[in-house]
Amino acid sequence: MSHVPELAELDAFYEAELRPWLMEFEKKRRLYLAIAAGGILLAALPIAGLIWLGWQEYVLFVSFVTFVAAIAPLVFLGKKIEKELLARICGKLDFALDPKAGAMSIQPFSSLSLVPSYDTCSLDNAIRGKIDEVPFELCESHLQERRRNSKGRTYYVTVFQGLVGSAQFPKRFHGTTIVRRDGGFLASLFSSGKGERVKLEDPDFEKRFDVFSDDQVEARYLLTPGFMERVKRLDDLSDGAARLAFEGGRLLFAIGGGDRFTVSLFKNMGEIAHFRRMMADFALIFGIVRELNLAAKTRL
Amino acid sequence: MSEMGILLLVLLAGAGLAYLWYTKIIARRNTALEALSSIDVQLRKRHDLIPNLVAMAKRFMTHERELLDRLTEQRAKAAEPYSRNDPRAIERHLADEQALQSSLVRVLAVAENYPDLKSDRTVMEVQAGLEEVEGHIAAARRFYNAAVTDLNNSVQIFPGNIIAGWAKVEPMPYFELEETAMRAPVDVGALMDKP
Repeated sequence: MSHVPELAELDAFYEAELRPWLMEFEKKRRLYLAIAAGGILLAALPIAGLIWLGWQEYVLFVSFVTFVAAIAPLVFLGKKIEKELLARICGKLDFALDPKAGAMSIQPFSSLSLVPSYDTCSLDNAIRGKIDEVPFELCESHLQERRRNSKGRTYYVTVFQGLVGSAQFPKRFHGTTIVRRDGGFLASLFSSGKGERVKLEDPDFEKRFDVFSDDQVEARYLLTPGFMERVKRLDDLSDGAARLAFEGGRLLFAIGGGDRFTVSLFKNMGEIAHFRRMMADFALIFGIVRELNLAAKTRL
Repeated sequence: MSEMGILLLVLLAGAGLAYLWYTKIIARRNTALEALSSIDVQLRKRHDLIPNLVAMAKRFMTHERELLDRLTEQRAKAAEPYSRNDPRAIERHLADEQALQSSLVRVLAVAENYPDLKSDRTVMEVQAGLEEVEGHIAAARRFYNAAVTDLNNSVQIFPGNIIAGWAKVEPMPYFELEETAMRAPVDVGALMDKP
């Protein structure tokens, strides 16, 4: 995390406070992992009986209950560690954490087509704070779409999982400008009712993104050649998962890439990998503000 | 199908294509004119800020009266009305704006030598306004030049050149910055803050 000094400074905090605290969970983790492994084996028995010994189908229910009971302690432990680790790191960075993300809404991101259409939405771990005096807020989001298989059964598919949020933008603007992933020729013809396509001069940027705006001049005022370079750097940092929009004086962003702020219970709690993984997610938050130079004072 | 029928079909197809090309040329000319209006809106904002700057500068920059008078003259010249349907008039108008911007840069550069002027509250407000306007002018110029490229391509490439000649649509001039030092937008803040 050398490119984010604030996070590099947390290494000492990890060694002094986080590692000893994480190690307190190691015994419990091993025990729950053994219970889960044993439970999964037990859950497999009724299935084997069903296949080879002709047991009745209701044993599948027994198998299911056994499986859930076996892995539940491990899952709950994992959630507890994630929540507390995140709270401790946020506290150290002076960020406010709301695990339930009560004040956040997916609606602005959805209406700007920064996230795909969905049927169910869950938001959690809202983080608010300031980086280089730039106020920001973001949260984790998990969007699913309802589908039906050939037998008419309903199932859900994840259509987006990642961070959604907004940050104050240094320039004044009044319209709406959206920077979406390039969706090919057909997608570029449709703007989801948010203005006209904006053709920009940077061929690499044009290859990666489609830009739509209700004000052609304002879109270019926001997306200067320098800012386009920064958006590409952020895109690289987020492994090509970044989408942006400018609305209401703020920069809105949606960055996919899966579940964030997670802890794997298949590794020893003393390993620094748990901390490193969470730091990588925080580095992305700093990256949004710093790569996009949101603290700049210029209005050029 | 008879030879006459085939000929008629070919002529119809040709007329259809010519009409499509014609509509494309007219649409692109309208976009270029819309972009020119966007530039004028921003340039007018710049014109509105200059009198305040000149009035304040005259109080402090007593030895630079000639420079300030030239800026005022060039502002008046750039603000003169012009025919938006005449590419040569547009070119002259844009050249006047370039000259005005050169003078503005010069005045701001000289203003570095007057600390009292730099720290004046009104000048600081004008400076902030100019900075924002310069950002919008740069954006409007990019929009205009992109629209002009599209228009010029469609009126200079065959058969567009024939259709454009018939429709009396001419290529439009680019809004370019001639001086190398002026290729970047005027960073008024940086100029005024130089030690």
